[in-house]
Amino acid sequence: MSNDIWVWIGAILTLGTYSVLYKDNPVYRVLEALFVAILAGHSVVINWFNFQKPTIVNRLGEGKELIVVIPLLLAALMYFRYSRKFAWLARYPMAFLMGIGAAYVLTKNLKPMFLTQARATMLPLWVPGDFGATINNWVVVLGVASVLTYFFFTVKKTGPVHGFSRIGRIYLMIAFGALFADTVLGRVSVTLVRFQFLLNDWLGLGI
Amino acid sequence: MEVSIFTKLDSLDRRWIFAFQALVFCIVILNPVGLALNVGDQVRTAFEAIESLPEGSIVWFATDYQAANAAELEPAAIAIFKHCMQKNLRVISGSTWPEGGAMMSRLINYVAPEFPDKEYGVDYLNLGYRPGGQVWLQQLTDDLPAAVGGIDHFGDPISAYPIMEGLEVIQDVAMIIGIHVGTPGTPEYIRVITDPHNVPMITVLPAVSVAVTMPYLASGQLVSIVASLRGGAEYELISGFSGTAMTGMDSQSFMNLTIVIFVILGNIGFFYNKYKEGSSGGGGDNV
Repeated sequence: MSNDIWVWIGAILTLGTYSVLYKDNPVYRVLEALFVAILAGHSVVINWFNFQKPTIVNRLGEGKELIVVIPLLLAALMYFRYSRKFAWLARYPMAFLMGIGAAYVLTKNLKPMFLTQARATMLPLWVPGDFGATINNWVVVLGVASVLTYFFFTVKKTGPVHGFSRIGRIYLMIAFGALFADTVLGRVSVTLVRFQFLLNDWLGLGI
Repeated sequence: MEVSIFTKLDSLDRRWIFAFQALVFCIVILNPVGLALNVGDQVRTAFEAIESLPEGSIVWFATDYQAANAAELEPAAIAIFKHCMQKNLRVISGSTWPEGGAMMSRLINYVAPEFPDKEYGVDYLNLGYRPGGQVWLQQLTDDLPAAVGGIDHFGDPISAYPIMEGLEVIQDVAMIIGIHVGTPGTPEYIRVITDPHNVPMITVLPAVSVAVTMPYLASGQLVSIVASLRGGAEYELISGFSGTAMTGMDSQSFMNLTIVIFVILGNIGFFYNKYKEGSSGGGGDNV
């Protein structure tokens, strides 16, 4: 068994967290609250030392960079949302953020998120000498076209359109299945590492 | 009335399944059977991409994850970090996630003892977390030292570190290793840095994120995806830096098999009961 107090703490917290699998209990609830509290406290401290102190306190206090006052004032306006009388003042920084956000996304998204992705689906349906690539390209092109048809709501889905959209639905089901399997795989991996920790690091068993 | 085994299966208390899975984990971890592990194309591509970098190149570790994801992602991150050290590459990390700086410190703690000749500030550097998400990534493309406020994760000035030589903007790095679990993550890096500035990126992902990230691989916007603990095990194998992922692959395989068996048994119970209800004329839900 381990002599390290931190390994013991980790083991006890792990077992306490897994106790919810039997049934909900006070130990699990305490650990859940502890987790949230640590995360929140950590974020506050890290934000202060990694960002707020060097960029606001140091730049304004030591560097005398008065331009920092503008974002500070905008940030301060956000707190007026707690006042019914002056809540409208909080709309200015929100409008500022939304304006920047929308413009930023619009200018940055077009090529990498749309054009490049669309181009990647425009594949040759016959690749000479590579039967595997040909099949692969057919799967991709058919999948993109049929799923888009499935979400095409301005045409009544009858006849061939209905049949093609059904293919899209099958593609979606396969995709959801793959996503779910990936999720299970991820959870298994996390559990596995915790068991390795309990058996190897804590109890000193195994290899 | 006698209850059939299929009815019992259909209504089996899930705690029995948890207990059985725990038992399988314990047995296989303590008695590994040594199932064969092969290196897949994705991990091989990632390994060769890092292998091809010239000595002294800067690799940016985007440690955009938190403690909850460490179990799944750290084995791959550690193996890649060790590979970089072996290749005499310079590793610099930054994060858009509050715990990212602490995660990089953990990686350094795992890797540094194996490379006693490597120094902090010379061969690797932890710039830590900075808020702003995608906007901060944009700042990195304009002026990296200014974007990090001129200090590292521990508050020390980065101008004193030799590793920062020649690094003015993030486009100066030779490769990005994105260890990502959510937003900001791989799409944000592609949107702001890798696609507009042609910086190659390998991304280390949890299993749940792999399927939705595959289109970026197909479009050529990613060099490779190192997926989950399995990817970590493959990277440990190909790089020769064995770790916890490789030893856990037996357990992972047996657990996956167990889950598949339970899914099949559960479905047999479900369809049997449905059939029995139908044949007895009992009605029931037409699921």
